[in-house]
Amino acid sequence: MPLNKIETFFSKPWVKYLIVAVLLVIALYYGVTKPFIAHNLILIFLYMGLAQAWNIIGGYAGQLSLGHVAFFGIGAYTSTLLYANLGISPWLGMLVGAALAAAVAYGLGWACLRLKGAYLTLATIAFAEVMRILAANFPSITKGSVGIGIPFRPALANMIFRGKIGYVFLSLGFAFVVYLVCRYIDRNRLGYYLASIREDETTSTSMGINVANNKVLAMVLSAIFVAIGGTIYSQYILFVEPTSEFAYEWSLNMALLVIFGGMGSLYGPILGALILVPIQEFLRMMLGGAFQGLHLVVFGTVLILTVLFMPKGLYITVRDKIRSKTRKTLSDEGGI
Amino acid sequence: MILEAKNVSKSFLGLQALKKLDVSINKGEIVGLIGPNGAGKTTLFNVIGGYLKPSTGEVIFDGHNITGQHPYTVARKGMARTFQIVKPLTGLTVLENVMVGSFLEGTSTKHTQEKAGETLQQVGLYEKRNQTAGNLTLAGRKRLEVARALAIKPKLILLDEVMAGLNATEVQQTIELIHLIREKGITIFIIEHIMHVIMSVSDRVIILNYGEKLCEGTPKEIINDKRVIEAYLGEGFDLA
Repeated sequence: MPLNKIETFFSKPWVKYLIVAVLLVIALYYGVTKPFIAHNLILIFLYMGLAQAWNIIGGYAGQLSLGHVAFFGIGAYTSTLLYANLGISPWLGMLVGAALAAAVAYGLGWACLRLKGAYLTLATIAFAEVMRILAANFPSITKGSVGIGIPFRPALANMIFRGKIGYVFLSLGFAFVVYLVCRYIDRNRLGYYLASIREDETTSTSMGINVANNKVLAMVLSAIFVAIGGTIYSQYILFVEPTSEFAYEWSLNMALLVIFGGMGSLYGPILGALILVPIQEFLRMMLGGAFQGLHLVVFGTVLILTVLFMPKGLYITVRDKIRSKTRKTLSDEGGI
Repeated sequence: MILEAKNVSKSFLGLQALKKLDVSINKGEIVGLIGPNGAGKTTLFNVIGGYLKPSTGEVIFDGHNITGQHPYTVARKGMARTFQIVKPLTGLTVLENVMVGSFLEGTSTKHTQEKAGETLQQVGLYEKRNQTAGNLTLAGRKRLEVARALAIKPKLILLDEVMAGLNATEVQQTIELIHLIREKGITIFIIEHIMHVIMSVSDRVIILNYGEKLCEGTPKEIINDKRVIEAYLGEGFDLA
């Protein structure tokens, strides 16, 4: 049957790679020629990686954190401080930031992950706020609300590029690495354990799963990649300040992209970033000048409609539709 | 002896759910646990499995003192259980539900998938392996509970009312399943309200009443015991 054939066609690996390659070539061509497109590509890839990383704890393990900007800010501030004050390469700073975020996530995980539902979410929001306030109120280290400028010295070793195309590749590489890690998780024991924990903790325990350890591990992995995203963003903007690097919108957007795309699925965050980030930027461009905040109203409406009509997210809804159709055609032919 | 609970008590605030209970189970046995509602049967399972800490006493499983240990450690030592109120991982498929348990044996996904498939074949759910667990009927969910318990390759399995709510055919199938589990060399401790089931599968029956052991013995002995008739079975009980 046609649908069945379409699915088998798309499940062939070379088809997937071909589609990705064609899209990438087109995107990069426009990325080189048009700065606006390049800027969008950078945001898409950056958000793709961030959402994918958030998905480990928020989607797979089902622990709804809205405080991930804390790790983002830690990554951004660590590499920036090391580079601006000590001249240490942001590549190294990025790893230090990731390690620091991992340590913080470990502590936060043990403290908070026994909380359930809204209580966990509130605790993570509060934690991120504390981080923002700390960054604003320790001027001796962070220069407070004034922020820190990163000296513009373009070089690969400094993770600073002339023009935008270097950043397109940087964020693309970031998204790809996080994708590979998540694909590994998705297909192996950890992914099954996290999904099991999301569905029912008592049942997971009865099958020998150490629920607390696995949740903390998911939080740490998630934090590491969000922190790396923070470093990349600050190297792109060349400036860090508490209200931007610790802005609540980052946490919210990571969660929204995944909820829109499909929680706990490998392709959900990718779809979410591919669709929502350009819409958000487009709306900002078209409506931002007309009426303060109008683009956010429209964006919010789109999200509410999605959650109402596709509570499982775009990817999972579509996948299940195709699957149930193929199953029906199979049973017509005397299969399952 | 695979399981020994010595002098186990459990109280919730003022209520004494278990009172100085001694229970022992030999390797390869099927032991039934019966008693009126609120007698403490599920509480005893929870204490044995580590889900509740006993107020006094200790639990020895397979030579290890497991008193107060986490349920996941107890599960890893080889004690599996099913839940009276079924707890499937609703969003996952039937196969994935069982795979989660099978992963205890190794990290290879492919190998785990095969193992889980074998387990599903044993309990007769293999044809439904790609269904979402949330779409199963009650009988299917109870079977899935058993499959998940078997997936961790246990030495002892605690079955908590796996037949409640099933029709006569399904009960018969489950009895066959219990015999199959025993043939694999797994010891079974089973709570059940359906008397003819308990009587036909158990080697030994323990009767709880108000958190105390009323008596224990072979099925024949206990249905003729006056105390059991008074507390649980009722006058003129007859195994129909």
